[in-house]
Amino acid sequence: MAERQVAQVVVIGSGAGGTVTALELAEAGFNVVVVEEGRRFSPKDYGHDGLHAMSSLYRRRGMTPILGRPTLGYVEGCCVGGSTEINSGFWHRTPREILLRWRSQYELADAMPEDLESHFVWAEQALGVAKSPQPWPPSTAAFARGIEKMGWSGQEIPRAAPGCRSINRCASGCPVGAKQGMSEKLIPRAEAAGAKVLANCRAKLLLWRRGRVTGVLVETESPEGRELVRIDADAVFVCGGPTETPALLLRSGIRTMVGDSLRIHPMLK
Amino acid sequence: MTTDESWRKRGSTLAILGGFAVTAGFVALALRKVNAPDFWTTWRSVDLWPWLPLAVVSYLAGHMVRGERCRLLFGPQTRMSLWTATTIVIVGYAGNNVLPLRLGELVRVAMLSETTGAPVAKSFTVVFVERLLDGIAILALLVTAAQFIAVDGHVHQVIRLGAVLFGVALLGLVAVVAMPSLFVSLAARLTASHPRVQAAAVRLAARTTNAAKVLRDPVLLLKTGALSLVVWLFEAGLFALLLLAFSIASPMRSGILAMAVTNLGILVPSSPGFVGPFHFFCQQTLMSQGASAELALSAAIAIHLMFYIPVTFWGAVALLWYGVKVGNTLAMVRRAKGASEDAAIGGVPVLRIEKLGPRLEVPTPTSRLLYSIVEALVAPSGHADAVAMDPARVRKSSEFLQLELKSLPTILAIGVVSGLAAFRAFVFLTNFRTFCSLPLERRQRIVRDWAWGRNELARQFFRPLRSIALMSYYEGGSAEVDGRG
Repeated sequence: MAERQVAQVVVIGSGAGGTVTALELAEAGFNVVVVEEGRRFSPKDYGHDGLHAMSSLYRRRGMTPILGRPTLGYVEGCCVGGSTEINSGFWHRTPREILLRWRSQYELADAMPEDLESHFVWAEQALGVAKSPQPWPPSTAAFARGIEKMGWSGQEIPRAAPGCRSINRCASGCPVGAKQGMSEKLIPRAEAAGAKVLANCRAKLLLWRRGRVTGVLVETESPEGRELVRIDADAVFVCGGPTETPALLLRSGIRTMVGDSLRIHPMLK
Repeated sequence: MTTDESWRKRGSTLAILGGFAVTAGFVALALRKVNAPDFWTTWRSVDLWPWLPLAVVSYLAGHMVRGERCRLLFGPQTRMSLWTATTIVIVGYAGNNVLPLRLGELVRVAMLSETTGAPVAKSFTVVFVERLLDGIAILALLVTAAQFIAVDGHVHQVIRLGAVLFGVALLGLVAVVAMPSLFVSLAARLTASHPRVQAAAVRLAARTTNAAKVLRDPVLLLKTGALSLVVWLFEAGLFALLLLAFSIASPMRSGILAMAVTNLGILVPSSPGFVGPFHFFCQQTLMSQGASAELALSAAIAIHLMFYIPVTFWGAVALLWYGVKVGNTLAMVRRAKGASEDAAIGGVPVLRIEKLGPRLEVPTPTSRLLYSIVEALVAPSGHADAVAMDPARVRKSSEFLQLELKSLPTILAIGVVSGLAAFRAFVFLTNFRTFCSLPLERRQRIVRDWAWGRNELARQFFRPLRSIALMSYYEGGSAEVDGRG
């Protein structure tokens, strides 16, 4: 019987974190498998109305509120590319004060802007991050005039959207491939380097042996039906985003300092 | 069965039988001076209202304080909600009520470890420290009560015995906290002749001293000590409030005394639920305060029932829920490591565990209520003519809304269902007609009152309905709604 091949690395999630992890490892020569819960879409599936997008690209059809005072609308992408397929492509380098706080609170090493400079530059180049080269659309211009008249300070946020035509369909996926969701360039790059992306595969549990994670239990879905499979691995990277990563870790028995530090930045429109 | 297993089984059986024998003995002692007709007369004449529910509240409040103390002892790195910590404490108590030999404590240790991810040694140390603090708090209250009430000789005996027991345990804990390296090296020396055992012993000793180091903080010690006193005052409240129901004199002082003596008395191993020792020690203490044997036993039975029932019920429900959760995970792990066949997905070699069958989507007809709500929400204000609204788009919007609501997490979905039921009932009671049968203008007014009115709960409930209805009606295109969640 032929010796069963073990995937060297399994990356759970194909959003910003998972895709870059998979890309780096694949380009370094590792055998990488990306397990993604959502479906795979192409640009022709993007840019439709909100109903279509919510029912296909969003986790739980977008019904993932954060309860509290007030209740916040919170959404996540659940598709190949993750939330990068439905966000607006805004780009922020992590502010210095946040990094300082993380260093002292979580005892992180090498987490100052100087340490991360080369990584920020890499990401900005890979995603084409820049301010809009074109004149602002009329609505944005009106908003800017209002800010000036109010005496407020305002600035344009750079975006990972070179060639943006201001169609304003970012939340439904960019139909022209301007906004750089992971599926646009980086996932194809990872696949070209040998990574395999398995869509419709939900990671249910991390499997352990003698204190080490040795694989992932996955539920797959295809037109033929659903299956429960095990993917063995030498290393597993959990990149399921701010809510699904802690959920998977907690389900799998990893509990210390997990699931209690979610931070979001609300956006007002 | 091997010889070892057979001895273990025999030992367990003997221990259990011994426990029941102790129970029988103490029950006999408690009934010794009781006149049956007087006993029944006492029971029939007792007025438990409002003392019984207050007693239960006091007892459960004590458990919540225990939960808070548990969180403090685990330290800040372990994030455990007060509800979770309280439930785990109660599961331990419930376990003691149904398992012999205080095995509920081990259930608590296991559940704490599983919930927090902390090593078993840490959970064990925390439970040990809690019980030690309990013993010291009870003794302190007992000694204090004994200054104000005349007590029998047996109470002094209980105090002396308790002081010895908890004193020794306290000394041991102080040694572990103050001299951790001595404790670890002692564990190493005692097991030096068995290297494998030595490795495990040293690891256990190190984890125990690590867990106990939180007690070096004097502020934490003071807080947990104070909380322990509060815990037992609440438990004394259970006793005192029920003593009021039985019209026993000086209920608070007698309650503290009876609580302390009874809880020290049930250290005697007996059957699950401490039947026998609980009743005997409680009865004897109340009799020493002037109550008749029948009255004292009646009060003891009532107190024991309230000590037993609420906590056992809460613990059983919690354990069932926890067991289902953990059981599901364990079942998944077992399946993952079970028989499998080689397969491939997208060129990736995998091990197929089992085929699960297709996902079943049971189409449900669009709710008339949701249709009527959506129509009322999307129609422009003052618009009385329903024909001008596009019924196909209203239907599509209500189908979309229905799918969205179905996608909510279970607990929120229950909230929505309850909210819709409350809305429907309210409308019927105030209009004597169902919402769906009301004219559009009336429905719009009702929906406006709920969605933009003064009641915050109603506004919160209607916010998602409003947002989704308006978005789906005015922004939705002609594309078919995808029913996949």
